[in-house]
Amino acid sequence: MRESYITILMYITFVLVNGVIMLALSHFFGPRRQGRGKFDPYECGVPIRDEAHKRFPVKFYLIATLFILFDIETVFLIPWSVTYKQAGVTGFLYLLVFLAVLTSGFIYLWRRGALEWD
Amino acid sequence: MQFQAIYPGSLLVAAAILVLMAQSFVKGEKKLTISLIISLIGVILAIFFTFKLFGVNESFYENALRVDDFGVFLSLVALIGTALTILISAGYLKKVKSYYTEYYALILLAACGMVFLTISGDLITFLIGLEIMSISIYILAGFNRESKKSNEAAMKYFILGAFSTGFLLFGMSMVYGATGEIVISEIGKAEKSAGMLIGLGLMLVGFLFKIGAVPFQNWVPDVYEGAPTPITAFMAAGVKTAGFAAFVRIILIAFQNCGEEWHTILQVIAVLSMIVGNVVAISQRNIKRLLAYSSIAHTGYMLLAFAAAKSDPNMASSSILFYLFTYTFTVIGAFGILIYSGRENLDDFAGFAHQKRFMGIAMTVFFFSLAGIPSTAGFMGKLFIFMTAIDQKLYWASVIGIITSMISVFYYLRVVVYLYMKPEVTRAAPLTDWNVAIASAVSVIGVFVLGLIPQSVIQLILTTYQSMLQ
Amino acid sequence: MILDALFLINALLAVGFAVAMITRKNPIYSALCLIATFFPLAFIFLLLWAPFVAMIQIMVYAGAIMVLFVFVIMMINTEKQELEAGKPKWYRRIAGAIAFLFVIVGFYSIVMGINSIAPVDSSIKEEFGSTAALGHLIFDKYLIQFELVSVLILVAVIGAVFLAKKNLD
Repeated sequence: MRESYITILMYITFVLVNGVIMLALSHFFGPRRQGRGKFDPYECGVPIRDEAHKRFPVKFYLIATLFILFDIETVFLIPWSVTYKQAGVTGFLYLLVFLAVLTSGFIYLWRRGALEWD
Repeated sequence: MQFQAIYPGSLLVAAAILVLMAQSFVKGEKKLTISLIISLIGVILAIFFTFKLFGVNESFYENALRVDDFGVFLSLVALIGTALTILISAGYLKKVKSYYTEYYALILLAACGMVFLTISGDLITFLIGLEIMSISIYILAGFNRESKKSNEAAMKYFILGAFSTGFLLFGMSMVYGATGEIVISEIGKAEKSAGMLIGLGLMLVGFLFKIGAVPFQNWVPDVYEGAPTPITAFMAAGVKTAGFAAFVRIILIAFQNCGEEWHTILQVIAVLSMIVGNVVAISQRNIKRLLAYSSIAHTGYMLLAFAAAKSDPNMASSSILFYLFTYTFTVIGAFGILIYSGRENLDDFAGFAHQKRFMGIAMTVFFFSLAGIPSTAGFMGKLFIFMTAIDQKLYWASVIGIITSMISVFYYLRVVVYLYMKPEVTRAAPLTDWNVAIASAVSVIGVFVLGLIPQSVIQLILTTYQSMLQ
Repeated sequence: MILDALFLINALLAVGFAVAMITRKNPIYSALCLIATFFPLAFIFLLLWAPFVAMIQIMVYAGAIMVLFVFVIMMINTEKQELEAGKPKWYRRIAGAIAFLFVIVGFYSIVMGINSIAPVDSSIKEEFGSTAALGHLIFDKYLIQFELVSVLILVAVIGAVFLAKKNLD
C-alpha cells in the first residue's frame, strides 16, 4: 500500500518540475515589451474604473462560512463511506443522528433566508 | 446502560432543535412563548435525568464520558443556572422587544456544552464541550445586533476566547505527546515530565482565561457590560461553573503528580484576583461592571481553595463546589433584579426599594450574599473556603482574602444604601414580569436554604472527590 | 533515508513560510504565506501515512478556510497607513521577550525529554492513518465526540446566520 505513494510522489514532482520549466522558459526566451497598458489589471479589454482594494459586502462572508461548515460535514462522511460495511446498521444510525442535527441547522438557515441574496 | 449518560445532553440538543424549528415555522409573537415553554421543559427534564445519575460513578463510551458525583453535581448546578437564566431572559426579551428565538436555542446548546464539559472523561470530549459552550456564548454576547457595546463585547470575547482555546489545545497536544494518553484518569498515572509541565502551563493559561482570573481578566468588565444582562448572568454562573468543573477535574486528576507546580501558581493568582477584583470594584458606578469585578474576586476566592488542594483535595474541591452552587443563585438573582428594574447605574437605583418593596428586599438579600453576611449562602461559601485555606496553612493568602472581602462589603452595602436611604428618583416604571419574579423568588429561597440549612448539600458534596477517583 | 530528507525539506518549507506569514506587513501576503504553509504540512501528514488528514489539510484549510481569511482581509480592508505598525510599546517588548524565552525553554525541554515521549510507533500498523481506520475509530471509540461535533457545527451555523445576515425580520 505504501508503494502506491511513489506514484503520487512522482506525479507531484512532475507537476512541480513542469511548472518551473515553463516559467523558466518564458522568462528566458519570451519577448519583453514595456507599454502604457502593461500594469493594468486587464491588458486588453475594459479599462479599469477604480481601485481593486474594495470592501467586500458581508454577504460573501456568510456564504463562505456556511460553505465551510457543510464542507466539514462532508469530511466526516468520507470515513463512514469507506467503512460503511463494517459499521453496519448501527453505524448508519449513528450517522443519521449526526446528519439529523446538521439538517435541522440547514432547515433553520433556509427558513431564515440565509441563502437569499438580498 | 450507556445511554443514561447522554440523556441530559441529548435532551437539551433536542429542545434546541425544536426551538429552531419553531423559529422557522411559527409566525409572529407566538414563537417566543412556544420557545420559552420548550426550553423550560427541556432543561427541567435534563435536570431530572441528571439527578438520576447520582451514584452511578462509571465511565461510558470508552472513557469519553466520566459520570461521577462530582460531574453530576456540577451539571446540576449549571442546569439550575440555565433554568434561572431562561426565566430572567423571558423578561429581558420582552423588555427589549426582541423576537429572535435563536436566543433560547443557543442557551440550550450552551447548556449542552456545559453538561458534556462537566462529565468529560477525556480531553477531546472536554474540548468539544468547551467549544460548544464558548461559541454559543460568543454569539449570545453579541445578541443585541444594533448595539455597538454588545457587538464589541462579542468581538472581544470571541477573539480572546479563541486565542485562549488555542493555548488549551497546544497544552493538550503537549500532554498527549508526553504521555500518549487523552483519557484524563490515564494521564494522571503518567510520571511528571517536561512535556507535562509545559502542557500544564499552557492549559492553565486557557483555563484561567475562561474563568476570568487575574492576569487574564481584562475582557471580563467589557464583556459583562456589553452583553445582554441575562447572558451576563449566564456567563457569571453557568460558564464559570462548567469552567471550574473541567478545571478542577483536569488539574486534580490529570496533573496530580505536578502538585508542587500548580499549587504555588494558583495561590499567587488567587491573591491577585481577590485584590484586583475587590479594589477596582469600589470605583464602579455601573452595577454590571461592578458585578464583573466582583466576579473576578469570587474567582479569586475559589482559586484560594484550589491552592489548598495539594494536601487536601477533598476539602478543596468540596468548598469550590459549594461556592459555585451558592454563587449561581446569588449572581443570577442579582442580575434578574437588574433586568426587572431596567436600570444599570448605581444612581438610578436610589430609592428603588421604596418603589418596589419585594424586589428591593430580594436585591438586598443577593448583595448581602455576595458580601458574605451571615445567614446567607455567600457567608457559608466563604466560611468553607477560608476554613479550607487556613487548614492548609495558607495564612497569608487567607488574610489577604479576608481583608479584601471586608473591602468588598463596602461596595456591596453601598448599593443597599442607595436602595433604601437615598431620595427616590422618578424613573420609568419597572417591568412586571412573572418569569423574572419567579426566578428571583427561587434564588432568594436558594440563598437562604444554602445559608441556613446547608448540611445535606455539604454532606453530598463531601463525597464527590472520592467519586472522581473511583 | 529519502523519507527523512523529504520530511526535512517540507518541515523547513513549512517553518519558513510560517515565519514569512507573521513578518509580512500586507495581510494578503500573509494569507498567501499561510496557504503556502499548509502544503508542506499536508505533505508531512502524507509522510506519516495519514492520507486522509493530508487531504483535509488541503481541502478544508488551504481551500475553504483560506477563502474566509481572504474575505475577512478584503472586508476590513481599510486605509493603508493603518497597516503600518508604530514603534512597539515597552510591554510588547517584554511580552516578546517572555514569548521568546518560552520558545527556548520549550525547545530545550523537548530536546532533552525526547526520550520520555511515549513510544507510539510500536502500536502503529500500516493502516493506522488510513481513512478506513479513521472510520472505525469514529464509529467505535470516538462516537460521542463525533456526534458532539454535529452540535458544534449547528451552533456555528446559527451564529453565522444570526450575526452576519443583514436583514432578519
